[in-house]
Amino acid sequence: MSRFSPLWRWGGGALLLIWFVLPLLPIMLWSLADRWPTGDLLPTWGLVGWREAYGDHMVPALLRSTVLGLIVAAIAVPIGALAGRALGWQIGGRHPWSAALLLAPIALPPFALAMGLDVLLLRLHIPQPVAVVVLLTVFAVPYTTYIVRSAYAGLDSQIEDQARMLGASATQATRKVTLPAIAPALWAAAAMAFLVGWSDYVITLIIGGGRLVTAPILVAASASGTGNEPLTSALAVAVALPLVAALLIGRLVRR
Amino acid sequence: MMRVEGLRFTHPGAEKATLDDVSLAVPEGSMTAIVGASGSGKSTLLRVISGLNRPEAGHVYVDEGRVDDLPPERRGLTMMFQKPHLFDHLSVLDNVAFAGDVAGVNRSDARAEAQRCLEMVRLPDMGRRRPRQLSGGQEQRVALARALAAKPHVLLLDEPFSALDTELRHDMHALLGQVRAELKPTIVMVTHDMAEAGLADDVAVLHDSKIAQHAPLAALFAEPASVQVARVIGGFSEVVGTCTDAHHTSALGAWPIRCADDGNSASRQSVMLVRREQVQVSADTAQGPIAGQVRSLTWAGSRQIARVAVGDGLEVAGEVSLGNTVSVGQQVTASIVGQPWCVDV
Amino acid sequence: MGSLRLLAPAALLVGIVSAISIISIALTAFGLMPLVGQPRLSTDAFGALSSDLWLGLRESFVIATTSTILALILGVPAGLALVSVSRIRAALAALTSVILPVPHLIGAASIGLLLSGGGVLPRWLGVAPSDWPALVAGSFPTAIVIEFAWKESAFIALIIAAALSSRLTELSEAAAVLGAGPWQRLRRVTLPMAAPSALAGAIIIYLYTLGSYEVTWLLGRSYPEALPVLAYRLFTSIDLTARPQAAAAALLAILSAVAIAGVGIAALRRVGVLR
Repeated sequence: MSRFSPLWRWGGGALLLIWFVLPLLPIMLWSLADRWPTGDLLPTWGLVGWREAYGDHMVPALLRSTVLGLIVAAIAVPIGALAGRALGWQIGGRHPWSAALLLAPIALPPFALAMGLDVLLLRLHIPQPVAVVVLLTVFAVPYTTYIVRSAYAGLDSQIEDQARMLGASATQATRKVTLPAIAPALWAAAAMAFLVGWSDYVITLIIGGGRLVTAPILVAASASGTGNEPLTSALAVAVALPLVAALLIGRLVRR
Repeated sequence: MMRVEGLRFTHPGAEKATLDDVSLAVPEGSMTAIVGASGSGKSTLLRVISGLNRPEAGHVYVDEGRVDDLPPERRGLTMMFQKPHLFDHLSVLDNVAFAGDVAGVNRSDARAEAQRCLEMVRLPDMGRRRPRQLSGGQEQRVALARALAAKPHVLLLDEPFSALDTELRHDMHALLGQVRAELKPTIVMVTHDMAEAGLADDVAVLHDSKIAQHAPLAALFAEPASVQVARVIGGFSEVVGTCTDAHHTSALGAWPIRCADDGNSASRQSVMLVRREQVQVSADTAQGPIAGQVRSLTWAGSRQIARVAVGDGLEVAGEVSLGNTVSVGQQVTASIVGQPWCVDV
Repeated sequence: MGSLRLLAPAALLVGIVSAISIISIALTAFGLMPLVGQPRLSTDAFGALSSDLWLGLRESFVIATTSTILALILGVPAGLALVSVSRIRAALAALTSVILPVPHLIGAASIGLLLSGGGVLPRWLGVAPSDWPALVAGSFPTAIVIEFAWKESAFIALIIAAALSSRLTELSEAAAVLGAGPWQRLRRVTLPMAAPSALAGAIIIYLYTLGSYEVTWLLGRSYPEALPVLAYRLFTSIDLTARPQAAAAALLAILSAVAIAGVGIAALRRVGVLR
């Protein structure tokens, strides 16, 4: 097979690598820097950003984000898994309306729904954290539903009949055969739902009204504020690194 | 034993019932094959028997006990599907031990029983493998071992060997024969392959939502109950004519026949069903009483089958006589050997 | 019915929460749900804000359009490189999958530190802050577009690689046997195969960038503001009469998203991705 000329391949490849890696470098460098004197190619290394982040209540904020991500996953995965089963196996028909409805949040601007819900909170007497969780779950459900739906679509529904025919009750068939078969999709769905809760900014900002301080809230406050690059970068890395680590660990486990 | 009475089942949204007043009895330890055109409801019948689909009317009995109200898993029967449906997350041994596991048998007993079943299907060393590491034939053997480990009173087979190549299918047939000799389960098998149906003691032909005939295969070949049954079994030429005094008169001339109603001497419209083994086709144009032209040639095993056009749009299939060479378009003669079966229209 | 029991929790949650949020936004925008005072049907909020609304809408569409185009221009070649035999493939695969879970807010914070006057890039290029163009908060939303395009090009690359990985080699070899050169194969085989996924990805990106708040807010200028930024500023204003105006901006954002989604679905039907 003939190939493109080396100029295209090397030039283009190098540009793509630079394009993808360059935007991540500032927070990586600044998070390990105390200062960056003008004219220097690299900063003066140090951990002042992390010390300040710790003083800025980074740890409790990370914990709040973790809890938020876990709660969103704990709700969005089961209800998405149920819907994904109905859509993937087309139980009782193709359900075009449900399929469209469950995809709709992808199109809707989160800030607008957050404003709409926030206006109602006082009237409905719903606590703010509950409303944050509910709305984040709405935005996580499309992912969990469609990830599980694909897994069911790739699994012959006769496998449950087979389990029944070997003496399993309906519950046993689902628990001992179907769920293990779609387990990778359930984990992927949980990861997506966690990501929605962990990385949310605008819904927590609008509905939380500044009282629910999650890690992204700290990042945004620092990034838009005084120009403390080491602090902003340390907080940003603290939000991004666990996700990257989880992704890499997930890849290793799958091998 | 297994018995169904007056089963009726209609698929959701369908106008016509797939099964309508289906009754069938399979004696203890025997095997019945269900045959029928595709879409005739063979698999549906198994699903209704198993309880995976609920009938609108009728009853299912397993060992004289009515199981209509029991869920599928408590009917004392098991089913093998066309696909082996091994559970990928379990080892081969734990697949076979699945029935014991869900029945609450302790793990080591379930595994010991599973190992015995793997030995019966001649895969004693495969227990620790994963299903993905097996070949297609091995998968279906594991599926059989897994079904046997459930100790079913009735084994339902929904074309489980049809996806295998010829050699593996014959292996599975031999294995099934061995299992029958050792365990004597009652078996109902859906198939579209007459050679496979021949493994069974009886064959039930499903046509037009009903059991059209239920008899040993030899009886079906010799005396099909209707033209439709003959079509399902295959290998018959249909010759329309009139029947009088045990003779059938048509474009082929008058031939002695057998029919269900020998005592009736009145002349009536009837169809002579001629098996292709009963027709000898000869290249010698002076040989037989029926003259015609070869339309097409095929092989059935080592015998060549010629379809011969004999005028009036009538075609008859027959074996080319040994030692004869014929080609398409050639003028040939044919003769009928023995007495064909005749059914009223 | 079993299927309704399965679908109900998800459908009711998404349906009810979306519906009441949108309805309450609409009621607020039309003066029927004021924070104080009597409900009164009026379009005052739209009138008072009309020029800001249109500028905000235009800004949002400029950002969404340029971001989507740039994401495609960079993401499609990256996706092709991911399925080709190339030395950068492993590095590219690692980078794109690392970028995927990084939140946009983090990307925006980092890009701010890269492209602002005292940022990493001008330092490395030896350009004084005063001579550096206003990429952040400038008259064109450059930094915003770069952030969106950066993260979403990784997304495009991964979905294109997923769509192509199974059948590209054999089809490409078939085309080569038929005498097609590398550029012809790219244009006649590879790009048409990648097109449906790229289109679906582009629609998702467009909808996301149209309604995203944090990147536009962090890297954008103070006037004119993109629709989400305008809406949030008015929403948190101490002037309580600004509430209906905030709702008007939010409603406009919702309607724009619905319109774009409608166009997108029609386009996907045309190319046969959706039935």
